This record gives sequence, C-alpha cells and structure tokens, in this order.
Amino acid sequence: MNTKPTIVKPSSFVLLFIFLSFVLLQSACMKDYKVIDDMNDASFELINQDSVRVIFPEDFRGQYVVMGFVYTNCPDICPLITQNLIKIQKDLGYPDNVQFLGVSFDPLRDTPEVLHRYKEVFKVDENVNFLTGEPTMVQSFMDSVRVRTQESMRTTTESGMEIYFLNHSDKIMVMNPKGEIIIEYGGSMPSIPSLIVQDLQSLIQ
Amino acid sequence: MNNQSLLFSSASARTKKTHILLMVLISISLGLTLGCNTKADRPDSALEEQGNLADSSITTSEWSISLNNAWARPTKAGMMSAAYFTMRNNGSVPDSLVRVSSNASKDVQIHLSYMNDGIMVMEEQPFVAIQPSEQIPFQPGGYHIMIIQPSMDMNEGDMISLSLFFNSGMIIEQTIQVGNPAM
Repeated sequence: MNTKPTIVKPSSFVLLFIFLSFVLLQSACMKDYKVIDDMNDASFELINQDSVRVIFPEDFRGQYVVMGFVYTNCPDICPLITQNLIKIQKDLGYPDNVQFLGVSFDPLRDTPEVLHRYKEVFKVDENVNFLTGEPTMVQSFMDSVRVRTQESMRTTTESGMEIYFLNHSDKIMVMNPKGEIIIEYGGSMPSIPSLIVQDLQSLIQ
Repeated sequence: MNNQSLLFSSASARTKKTHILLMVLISISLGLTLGCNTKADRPDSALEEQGNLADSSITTSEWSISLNNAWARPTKAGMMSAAYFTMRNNGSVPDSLVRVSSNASKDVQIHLSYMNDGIMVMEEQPFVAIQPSEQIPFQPGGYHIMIIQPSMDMNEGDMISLSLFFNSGMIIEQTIQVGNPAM
C-alpha cells in the first residue's frame, strides 16, 4: 500500500482546541430563551396613532417585536417605559428588522389622536407604533400578555374634570419572529435597555 | 310620711344625685378621651389643618429646607407632567411637605410610585415628613409632584414655578427647568 500516514502537526491540535473551546464557550454563554407566551393562536385587531388598523401578532410575524405597555395619563412610570423603548431602538441603531410598539391599556382615553400627541411629546421615532383599540379587545390583549391594571384613584380637578389613575404591570417584552414572547423585563427600570439590547443582539446575529 | 318612707325617699334622692354625678363624670372623661385621641391618633387629619398647627415659634435659623436638581418632565397642555428634585433638611427641626402649587396647573399633587405584588402603584401622599439632616429624593419611580393637565405646553428649556408649603407654615418658592438636565 502506498498510503502516506497523515501527519498531524501539533499546531493543528492547538488550533482545533482553540476552535472547540470557542464554540463551547459561545454555546455556554448563549441564553436559553424559553417561550413565555405563544401568541400564535391569538389575533387582536388594534389601531395605531395614525388610525391604521393593526392585527397582532399577524402583522409582525417574521420580525422581532419589542413592546412596552403604557397609558398617557401616567405622569411617572410610563414616561420611563417610553424612554426605555426609545433608548433600546437608538442603541440598536434603529434596526429595520425589529418592530417597536407601545400598547395602551387605557383605550377609553388613549385615542389615536392622543397617542399621536404622546409620540410628539416624547419625540418618538416614526417607526415606533403606539397601539390602542376597542376596550374589550385591548382587555383581551392585556390578559393574553398578563398585563394587569386596576383603577387606583379618581379625583376631580379644580377645573371640575374627573380624572382617574391606574395601577399597572411594569413590563417590556420581546416577541420572536415565530410569534412567541421570549423576554420579559420590568419596563421602567434604568438597566433594562442595555439588557434587552444585549439579548436582541445575540438573537439577531 | 313615716320614718321609713322618709328614709326611703332620702335614699332615693341620694341615688339620683349619685347617678347624675356619675353621668357628668363619665361625660367629662369621655370628652377628654375622645379629644385626646383626635390629636394623637390622626396625624393625617392634623396635618391637613396645617393653618392651626403651624409652629410660629420656629425661627429661620432653625428651619432650612432646600431643593436641588429640580426639573419637570416636558409635556403638552392638557397632558401630564411630573416634577422632581432632592429635598434636604439642613435645619434643626423636623417638618412636613403638605401641599404644592404651580403656575403650570391648578391641580398639583404629591404622589409616590412603588411596586406592590408585581403591580406599579401610585398613591397620593397627604404629606411627606422630613427630619433634620434627612435628604429625600423626589425621582422617577418614587416620590414625585404630579402636575395634572397643565394649562400650557411645557417645552424643554421652559421654566415653571413651584411653591412648596410646609406644615410649619414655611414656603419654598422656586423656578424649575422643564427637561431633565442630567439627560
């Protein structure tokens, strides 16, 4: 037989070892994203700030969706959630393949016009949509993503107008292109944008 | 009238007098007890009557509360805003912030946001007490001054006025900037 023995140089072993270590290290560092909620069986007809009809999650299938839950009469926490959404979008470099949503859980007051003004106040990018809808539809949507709300106080202003405030869940979620909610964080916390950006960068790559 | 009936009638009169005396004593002690409880057990209501409780004996050398890093969230007329600052008591007497007013809105309230059982809760505060050397941050997600439906647009860089009324009767009047200078 004229077969030459394969000579494996020690340097190849080293290279193989480094490669395998790198692969193992990467897989160890990869987060295991479990499905928190599968939205595939759901279909919610909502409307955005420009009165354009939106079907959730159908219209967003094939893309990552980052969504926060707010109401515009909220003076303290919801502005933080909104600012975190803005920061996530900015830090990701305004990606085309990620959708950003702010969903109102106060559809009675948060009409498309109000949401449009809210976007202006917070200088929200045009590719971020704020959604509202029929109260029963919005309630079903909130139930499906486990966002809870309860009226906290009702007060009459000096001008005689009755206003109310809501206690609410504080969440920003990420839905994957298959329509599964895979990430859920406290929406108003200052550390949230960097965590979600890291997660999305590892997922999108 | 025989002696027995006289004795009986005088005993009955004594009992009557004793009853009246007892009732008067019970009324006085009840009145005193209720009066004391009203003051001791209901600090909220006492604070609401700040005019009656304002301590005129406090001197300006004892009282020194300051606001630092004050700012208000930009918004449009008719929407919502909030003001934030750090309140510090540099004086030697405790006090309580009991009311806030602003030129931006007729409806200004003191609120506290906090997490309770997974729900973000916001509650109006009747007062915020501050002890000597204490520093209380009014910041997003905590204590804040809610400016309800301002009558004007509050744009970044605008100035609005805040007046803070304390239980002692002292008032801080300050002009604060719209927009977070730290951002």
